[in-house]
Amino acid sequence: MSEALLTIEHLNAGYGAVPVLFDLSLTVNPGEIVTLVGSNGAGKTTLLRALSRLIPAQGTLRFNGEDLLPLAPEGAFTRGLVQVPEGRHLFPRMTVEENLAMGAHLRRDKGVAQTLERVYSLFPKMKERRKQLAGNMSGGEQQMCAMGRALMADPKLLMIDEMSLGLAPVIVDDLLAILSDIRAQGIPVLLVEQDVFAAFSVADRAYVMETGRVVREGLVKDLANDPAVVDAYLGAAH
Amino acid sequence: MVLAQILLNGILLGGLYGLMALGMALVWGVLNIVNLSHGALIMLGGYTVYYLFTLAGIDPFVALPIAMVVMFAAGFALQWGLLNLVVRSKMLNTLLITFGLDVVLTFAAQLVFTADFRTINPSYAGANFPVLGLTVPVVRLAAFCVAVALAAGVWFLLNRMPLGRAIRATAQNLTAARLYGVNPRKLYAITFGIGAALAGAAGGLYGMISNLTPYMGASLTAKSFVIAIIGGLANPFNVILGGIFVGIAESLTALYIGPTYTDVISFGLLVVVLVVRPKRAVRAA
Repeated sequence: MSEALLTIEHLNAGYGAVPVLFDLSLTVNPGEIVTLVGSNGAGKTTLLRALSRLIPAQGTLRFNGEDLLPLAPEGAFTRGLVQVPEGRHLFPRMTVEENLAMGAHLRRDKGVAQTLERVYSLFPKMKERRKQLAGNMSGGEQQMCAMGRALMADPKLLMIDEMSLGLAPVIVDDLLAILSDIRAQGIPVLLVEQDVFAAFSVADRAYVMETGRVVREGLVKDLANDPAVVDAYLGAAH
Repeated sequence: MVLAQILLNGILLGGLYGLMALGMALVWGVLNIVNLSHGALIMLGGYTVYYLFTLAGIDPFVALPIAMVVMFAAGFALQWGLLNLVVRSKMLNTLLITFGLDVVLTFAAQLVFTADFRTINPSYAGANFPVLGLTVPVVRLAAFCVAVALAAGVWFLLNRMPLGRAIRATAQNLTAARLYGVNPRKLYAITFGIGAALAGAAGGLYGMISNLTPYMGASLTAKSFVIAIIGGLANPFNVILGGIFVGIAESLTALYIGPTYTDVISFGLLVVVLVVRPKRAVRAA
């Protein structure tokens, strides 16, 4: 197999003197939807923060053939490693249109208008609401806006942290369908989720994290039948 | 008629007050720094225009943009080298450091410029013309127009330009702005530079209307603070309106109660606003 898009090997990271991630390894290949699941406090968000270079880390962190470790947050971002943070983190007193524009804020190429059309075709509701203040929208709409803003950066890998958090199941289903569309447009996705059932419905491969370590990994169809995973995350009903 | 003239004077002076507060409101809203050296920056802008006029013979209104460039550079350097060290820390830290900065700038100015009163006094300083029986002083009218024009410029920057969008975004959500490629250190330095440039313009205009002294800063900081709170931090035109409000209130006070009571009224207004609308007072850009 050719080199993975994202390669993480033996990664340790944390906040100051508090280590959170231990010897973590993970890959994302082109065209994949990979999900990282685990309970609250497992270190999923910390991993994304390390990938976006917001916190220091040791180990191997390669993206698109390049070492990420020496880069500042802007560096990781401009190389196409773009994340939708947990809790959306929109600019609340700016319009949808302005939020989307902030995603392309560092882009100087001519393709921005084209990307905007693509985002509007993925999220028609955002086109309707483009003059509305982001802070006044529903949770689902805010998540769409946050995902659209990330896509405006023309990512090579889209990382989404807790996409389903606080959203009604029917909205989550819509967003999962849109993830497949995004992948179909050639953008791989790393989806961090607590809702394992939702994540498994769309992902190709999965990593299960517990207290800063990867404890299970593999194809979703295999993990969905792994008794340990089923017991801990999918419940008896599955 | 006297009342109409007083109102006109208050409005014209208030426009300049608004410009003084504009830079402070911008820095406050975006960086969450209440810059206690803002008045000292106004003072430095005033002296810059003064010396460009007296030593280089440049017309004060032509010297204004030059002083703004100089003050932008000074403000940028100050934020980059000093204030970035404490930005986003507890407000007490930024209050302390900008207070210290105010003391240093004031006494450095006393050393360099001496404590003498200075006035920027171009040939047209005393010119005025009558409109509907009112006397309109040319310099004050020009100062008012410059203040409104600069407020419009700030509005345009914040709402219509990518740089301004990034400034607002950073004020609203620092985490997201960093994630989307904004370098906050640089953006803060630019914002503080703009605030200092606005202070510089206000200082130059103030020097044509009143006196420049090294000690003028403290009271202007206080006045800017009051106006920034009355006008809010979000919209530049509201800051100008806040300035006009205070300008009118001061003029009426001077007329009916006595000129020594003008500060009582402007700070009385501050107390009233803080009691009546405390939320508005702390709302960010």
